[in-house]
Amino acid sequence: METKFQRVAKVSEFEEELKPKLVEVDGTSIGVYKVRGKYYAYENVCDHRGGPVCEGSVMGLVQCKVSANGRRLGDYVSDDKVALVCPWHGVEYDIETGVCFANRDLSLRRFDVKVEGEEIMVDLAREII
Amino acid sequence: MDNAVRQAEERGLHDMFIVDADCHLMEPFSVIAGKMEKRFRDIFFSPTMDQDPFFSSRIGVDERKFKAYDPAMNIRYKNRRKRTELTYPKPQTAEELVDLFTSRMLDFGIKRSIVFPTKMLDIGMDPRADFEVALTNAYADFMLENFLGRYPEILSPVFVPANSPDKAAELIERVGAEKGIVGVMVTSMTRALAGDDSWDPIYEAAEKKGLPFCMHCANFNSGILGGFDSFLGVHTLARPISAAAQVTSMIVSGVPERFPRLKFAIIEGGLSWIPWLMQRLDSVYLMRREEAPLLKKLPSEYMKEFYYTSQPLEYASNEDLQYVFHKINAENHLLFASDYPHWDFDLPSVIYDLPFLSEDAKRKILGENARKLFKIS
Repeated sequence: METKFQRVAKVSEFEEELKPKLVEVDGTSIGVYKVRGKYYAYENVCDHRGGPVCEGSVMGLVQCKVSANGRRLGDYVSDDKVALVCPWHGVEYDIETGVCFANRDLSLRRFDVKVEGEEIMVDLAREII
Repeated sequence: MDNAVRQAEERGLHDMFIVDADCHLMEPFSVIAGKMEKRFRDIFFSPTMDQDPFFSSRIGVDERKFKAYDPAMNIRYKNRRKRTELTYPKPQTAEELVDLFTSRMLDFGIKRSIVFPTKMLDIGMDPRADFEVALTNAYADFMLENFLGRYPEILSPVFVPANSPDKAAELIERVGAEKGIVGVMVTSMTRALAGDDSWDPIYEAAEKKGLPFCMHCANFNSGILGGFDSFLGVHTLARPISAAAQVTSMIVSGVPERFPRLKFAIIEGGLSWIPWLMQRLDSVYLMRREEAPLLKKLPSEYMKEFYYTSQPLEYASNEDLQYVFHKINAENHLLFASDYPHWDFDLPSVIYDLPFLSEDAKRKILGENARKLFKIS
């Protein structure tokens, strides 16, 4: 398949992890993220109701501690899972896969990303399923 | 809200007559209280007067649990979400509300907004009946002075004190013919059920004025739902359960037969409970018909003549939604509603994008059904 990578950002713009950069590529709004050293690019459209998901919070997944018998003990923010949270309805996606945590039938359009030197590049023709 | 504006442009929604049959304002109680007698004004004089004067609605409720129920109060919820423009607004000024409903909603393709209050939806369980009468009258005056009849985009049913049916009828008589008033409204949380004979003055007055009777669903956290310590549990059940109880009451006591010219709309209960109730009511009616002697047809046939608003349109497969739409005669009796600006709002695309609807059905659900029901010009 022919690749069509386009420059969208510089590596130096992602010194702070989880801080996204919103870019427009060929008229498509895309959020670019760096998580644990790896880059991700998602279309800025929530699979639930079409909200601007990439304008939402990026944070540890809010989890609930449960007792041995399944009772709720209180909430905590996960150190392991990172969620991209749509600002419209609070639907949460795994930022490393684009798949919704609550309903795996929902997922974000994810595009191939590569790094060449200082340049971060995205290929809209290569959607990662 | 760029995505919402884009959705409207991509789908050509600006060329359609879209009516939002249920959206909300945050009541500026400081203004509304000014229209009430001093003894009622004093109820508002607390540090939270613009937030929640209805403390009585929480009597007997565990405050810790209450906080878990209310999304606006839930710390976890606030942290998870980042809303730039869309949020539970603070009490809005009249100017802000005019801008919202005459400008911003138009950007989403919505030409007419039928506006409901927010905090006042709790008033139906307030034990102070005279306060309910005073507040609903003051709210009607606030709406008429600032919006109704002044801006064609803003419409509203008159919110009546359901616990004082004679006073409710007086209010309908007083303002029911005013421009911009398009219905009569109560909430689903009331001390008597809607089929109780005591409610007849409300139905008579609404029928006389040619106004549809609208029941806006409300949350509750008492009885069996008082056991939940999550908003998820309460919100899943409270509105459809209260709507189901009120609709059952109305039908079993024959309200549609007693007021044959009156039209009924159930607001903000979602849709998935309706086929369930139709099937169950019909089944029990077969065995205990004599307890509903006024009925001339199956309960589900009356329910099919009711109108329902679409929000919150439960997220489901198209196959499941198609079944629900078929059961409720959605093409002719479903009204699009956004519930803007509340946390589980819907945009017109939730209807427009459904693949099993014809273009004609979409137009009807998004606006024409409401235009007919509420006599909107």
